[in-house]
Amino acid sequence: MEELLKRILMNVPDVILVFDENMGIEFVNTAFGRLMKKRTRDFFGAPLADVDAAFHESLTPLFQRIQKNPQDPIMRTFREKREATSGGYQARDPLAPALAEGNADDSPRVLTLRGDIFTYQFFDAGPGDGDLKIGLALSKVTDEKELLERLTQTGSVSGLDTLAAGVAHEMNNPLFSITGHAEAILDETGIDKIQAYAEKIRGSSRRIAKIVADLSGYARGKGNEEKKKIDLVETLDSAVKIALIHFDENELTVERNYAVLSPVEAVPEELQRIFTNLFENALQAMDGKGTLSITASETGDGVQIRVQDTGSGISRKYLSRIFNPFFTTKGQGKGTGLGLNVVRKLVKKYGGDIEVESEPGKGAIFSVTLPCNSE
Amino acid sequence: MGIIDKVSGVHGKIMIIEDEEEVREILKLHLESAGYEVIEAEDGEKAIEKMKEGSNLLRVGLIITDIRMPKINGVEAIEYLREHAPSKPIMVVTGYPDTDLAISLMQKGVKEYLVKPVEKEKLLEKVKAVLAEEQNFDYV
Repeated sequence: MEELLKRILMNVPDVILVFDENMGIEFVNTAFGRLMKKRTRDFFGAPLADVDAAFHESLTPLFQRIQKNPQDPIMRTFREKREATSGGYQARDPLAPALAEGNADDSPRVLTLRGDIFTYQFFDAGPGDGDLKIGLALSKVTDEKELLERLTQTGSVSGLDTLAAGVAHEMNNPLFSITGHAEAILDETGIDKIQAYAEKIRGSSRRIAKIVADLSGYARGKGNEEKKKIDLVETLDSAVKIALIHFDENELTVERNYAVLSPVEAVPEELQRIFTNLFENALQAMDGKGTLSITASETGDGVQIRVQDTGSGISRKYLSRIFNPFFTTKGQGKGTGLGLNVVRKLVKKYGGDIEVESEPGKGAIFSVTLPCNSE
Repeated sequence: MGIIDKVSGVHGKIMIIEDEEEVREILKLHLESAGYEVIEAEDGEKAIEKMKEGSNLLRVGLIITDIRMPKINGVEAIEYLREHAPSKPIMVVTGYPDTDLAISLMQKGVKEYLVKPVEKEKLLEKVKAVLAEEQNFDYV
């Protein structure tokens, strides 16, 4: 039986180590040997610090915690997680930006060893005679984690969730207004009220139409819009004009710094849309007060347009998601969360790129690069 | 609603927590057409404030809330309300057809989970049913 257990232990794909209280290695299984490219017996009795200094360093604080308190929650990290995922669905606003989900305490979620990323679980491996022996099981997540990171960045995973919830929310509210006002009309005889309700229905229908239009601009272009060589300065200026419509110009300074001569080849409406959205966004971020700086320059094979605002900036945890559809931090009715998403779609369509830099309290800079000849 | 209820004020008011004016308006239209008195709040924070005003804590007989709102959102507001006014029944009217969310909210004590666009008849039927239930007073 002992032989069987040992074989199982040696052959499970997860890495298993047992340490003594001084972080000396007492046992490792084959998975660890394979990872370190050595035979398992070479590790028996060796101090972890000699085997892998970086790993030793990352484990040290966790060890100290366990030594201080053998009941420390990191001894049960895994089990708690299982429980949490099996039955504990947590009610939360589906569109609220999700906070980074970490362990309840400040322990790291994963450990890194030889470039791979592992979730981990400490366990009590003591024989019960008072000697502290600490077991550690590592489960490799590198591939899943990379995949997840890539998907989150391109906006596919969380983007899709947000998209579905966003569509539901954005559509169902005006739909409710439409059905509700229609029902009110059915019960109403006063012509004034009926007209007022009909007006509401028209307003809500337009709102839905706008969302649909935003979404289809998000899908493929219609194909009948012709690309033209466009003067960038003219486009930027008219985009500023459009963006300023909703704001008080007395409270705003617009700095223009254009050093662009080359025309850009694009569908005029689309190019204008890119900048109108960016400018409106910047102005909203500043609450309509502050300085909007627009810098346009040549980059050799294309142009770069930097849009800088003096607004409240974007919190780091939102930065990777601001281009996702329906992701918005604006209040209800102020933004559908499609503006920046459309911008990115269009910029990519022309073979360009968009980047954002921001620090909370220091405004944000959006840099758009566009090639001048997009064949 | 009978005259007795009106006088006794037990089921006097329905509080609507909803950030979108249009939606608030519809809920109000529907509810008022059935004779209910309505107070409105744009978000959870305002709802909690209003709840503390005057006799509202006593007179509000039902709370209808959305989930997604600025400041204190619906889920947080529900948790707060369940804690501070545990006897008030809560109904959720939201744009999300989400079974997990619905179940989880029901477990938190939410009586109904209706998805917009909910029809007037259904809304009033549910409101009536919830109000007809004996209020489960928790004497904390």
